Amino acid sequence: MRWVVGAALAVLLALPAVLSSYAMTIFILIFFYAFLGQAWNIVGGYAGQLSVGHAAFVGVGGYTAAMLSIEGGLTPWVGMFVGAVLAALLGAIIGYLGFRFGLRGFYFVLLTVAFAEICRIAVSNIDALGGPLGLYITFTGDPRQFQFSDGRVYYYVALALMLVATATAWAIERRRFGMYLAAIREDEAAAEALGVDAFKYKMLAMIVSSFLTGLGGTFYAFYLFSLQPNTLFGIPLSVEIAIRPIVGGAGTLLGPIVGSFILTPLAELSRLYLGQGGLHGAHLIAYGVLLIGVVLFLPEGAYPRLRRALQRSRGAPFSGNERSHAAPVSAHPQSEPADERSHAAPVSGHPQSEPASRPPLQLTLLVARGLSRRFGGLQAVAGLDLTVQHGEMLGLIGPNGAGKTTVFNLLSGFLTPDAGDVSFRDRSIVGLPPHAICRLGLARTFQIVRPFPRMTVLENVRVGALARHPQAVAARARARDVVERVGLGARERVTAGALTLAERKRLELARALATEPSLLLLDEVMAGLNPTEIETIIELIRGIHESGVSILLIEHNMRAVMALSHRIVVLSFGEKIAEGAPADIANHPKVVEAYLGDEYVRAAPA
Amino acid sequence: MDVTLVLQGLLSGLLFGGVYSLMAVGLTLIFGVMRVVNFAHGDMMVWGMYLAYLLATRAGIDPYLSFVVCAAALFALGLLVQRGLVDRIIDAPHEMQILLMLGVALVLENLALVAFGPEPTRVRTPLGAATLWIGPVFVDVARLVTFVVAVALTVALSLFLYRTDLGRTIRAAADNTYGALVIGTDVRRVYAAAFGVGAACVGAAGALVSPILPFQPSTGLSLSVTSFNIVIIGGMGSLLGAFIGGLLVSVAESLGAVFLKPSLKELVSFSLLILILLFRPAGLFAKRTS
Repeated sequence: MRWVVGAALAVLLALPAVLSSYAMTIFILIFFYAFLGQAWNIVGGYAGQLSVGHAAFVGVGGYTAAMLSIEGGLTPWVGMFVGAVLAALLGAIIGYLGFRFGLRGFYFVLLTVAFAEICRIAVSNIDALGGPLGLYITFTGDPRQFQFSDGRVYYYVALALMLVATATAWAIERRRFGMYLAAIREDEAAAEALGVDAFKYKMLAMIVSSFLTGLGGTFYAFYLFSLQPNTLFGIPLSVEIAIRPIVGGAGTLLGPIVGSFILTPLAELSRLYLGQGGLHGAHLIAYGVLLIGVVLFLPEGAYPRLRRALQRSRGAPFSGNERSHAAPVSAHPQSEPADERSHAAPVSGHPQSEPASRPPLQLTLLVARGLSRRFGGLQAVAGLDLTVQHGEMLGLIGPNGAGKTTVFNLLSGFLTPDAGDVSFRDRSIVGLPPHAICRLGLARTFQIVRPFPRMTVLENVRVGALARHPQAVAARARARDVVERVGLGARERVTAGALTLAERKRLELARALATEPSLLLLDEVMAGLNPTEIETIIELIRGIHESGVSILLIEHNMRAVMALSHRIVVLSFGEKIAEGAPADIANHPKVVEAYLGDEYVRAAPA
Repeated sequence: MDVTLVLQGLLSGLLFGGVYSLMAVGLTLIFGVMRVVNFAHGDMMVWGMYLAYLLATRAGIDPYLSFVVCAAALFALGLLVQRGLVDRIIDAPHEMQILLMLGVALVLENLALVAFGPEPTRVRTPLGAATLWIGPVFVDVARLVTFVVAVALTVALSLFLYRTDLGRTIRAAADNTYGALVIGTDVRRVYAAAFGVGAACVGAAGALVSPILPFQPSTGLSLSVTSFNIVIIGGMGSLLGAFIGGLLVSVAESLGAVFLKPSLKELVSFSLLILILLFRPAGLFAKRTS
């Protein structure tokens, strides 16, 4: 891979020597759009927050640098960074509004469109910025003014921009930041449950993306020598920016570059040949047809397809995500000695980070008092008191609709209670977001499993491990331990979407476990499994518990819950109707009534 | 501020709003049924305009009659786009759907550019010059007719959706596609019908607005964006929301042109959109869901 990159780079560096000036122009545009696509990809691809308003950042960056140069005499070499900072500020505002208010999908698209359009209309109406006609930059050919008589300089500047953006994306991809963005794109709620501060990382992605795009604005302005609000802030430019990474492969490192190499020459050549014949717009028809074709026949983008084809021809054994190729850990000896690990076999047994292994200062781990939550006319949970002791395995049972999962959502921060308090390790956690609660050591699984479907098993678990091990390498080693522990070692490179239900349940467990909780909330991890699979998972839960993790378990499988729990709490219509040892619960009249109806109780001999 | 001027703005905004409503009703119908946002909506509307233009200049048919033909033609186009393209990506991620519809929009817009050129045009009708005075304000007769027909069509569409079997089936599929499949609905036929009817709405709207709004191929994009604004403001998937939202946005833009200046009128609707997105993202007339 290094050879290919090096060779490609050498060719690109040497190319200006042989290119005609027209071909050079095309290459400059390829690099420039690849650069913009790379910047867009950080928020639109990796984080999955589709923006069709990136032109606004080009516009803000370009206008800032141009105005500073024309009015203030400031060199664009400095002005471009001022413009980029202002673009990042605008990005932060859009991001804050969109992410704080939870806008997703089409709604987020429209927010970005609306901001870009507002900028366009505003700039068109500000006379100091040239109004609808825009600004013109007089050509001096002075390099200090970002102007070059020699087209080759533009070529190298554009190439440098593309490489800088690609290096930025590469650095992000390899780090926790990149893993977290991918997790957010795949399933934001599941990411939150694993300790990912989704808002923070989406904001960061937006700021980095808009900063880079803003830099591009200066290049645009000083390459074309004119800035018009309709072109610099317009929706068509936003579409041009987003299309290339999507066609090439959104959320992949080389996608934006591949996309630009496909689309930019196509656009330019068809503009030249079809536009010359008086057929204005004909090239855009071709463009539209190509877009439709890509969506129908290459939906994941060109680059992933290309990569697979290359791997096949080289006979590469697995088609894993390229992130997992980056540093094959199995070949690295850096993971801790195996004997030490097997000693501490219980998964959460890492002494330096495992709170449960410290002598417990308090006996109660979790206390909920008067917990209540209403949905419209339904009182889902009513004044529930619940305690979990250190080292306890507590079962939470009740008929369907009793409010068990709502209790989990209240404890883990996915819902806020209408009334009542929850304290975890002597600290109130009401109102804390899920990721903060996870970091305090309270992890959960979801009843309907929520794997990150396009990430591998190992990557899924790594997202959890990153909560305690910010370094990618350490997190990977940790994730591998956990994956082995739940028996998915042989499947670690499989994408989660391809797992069986039983495997997904174990993956769900592994991810939560990788966050090294002191209390684990398990929501029906046995539902839908066959008896053999249930046996395995019971053993697994026992092992986890023995390693020092307290467990709160929702389960419908009575035999399992009776066998596992020290104590059981029974919920019916949101209220606690019984609490006690498994044997007492099994014969408790109120419990029997809740499950079978009072007629059964009256009919049955007590 | 001149009261007459404000009244005038209010009235012409309201009258123009009928077309916005019809256009937004078409978009919200397509979205409600398929959860697909038709990014080519405005470009389809522009084709309705050019068709009315052709029928007026070549065959001498007034747009206030030819809107029926335009609606039928756009129905066919909608059907074609749905069957040929949208149907294949109905389960794809939304960015793929957006991209596909952007592709369709590009093709439609630039076909119009190749066929008709970039110059703005408008369709002449004998009604165009007529005005009525109501006290201090005047009513543009063309606007009035456009408004009346557009509102009548919206009402007819609601009757179709609420009173006919196919209409009820469409609403059922919009509420719960899976449920509709379970009870034996031919969902593909429903999708095709919904897309066709949604496109027919802009076919008619385009023809009706062609005498009062100068247009060119690039008009499509801004019409699309305006339709998105309206359906978000009214509530995605809500017919009533689209109808009232259309009037609201039109009046807001018209008043914006009076109070600020004409080139700033869109600023008003975009600001409105952002406020709605932030504080009432489900829209003003969101359907209550459990």
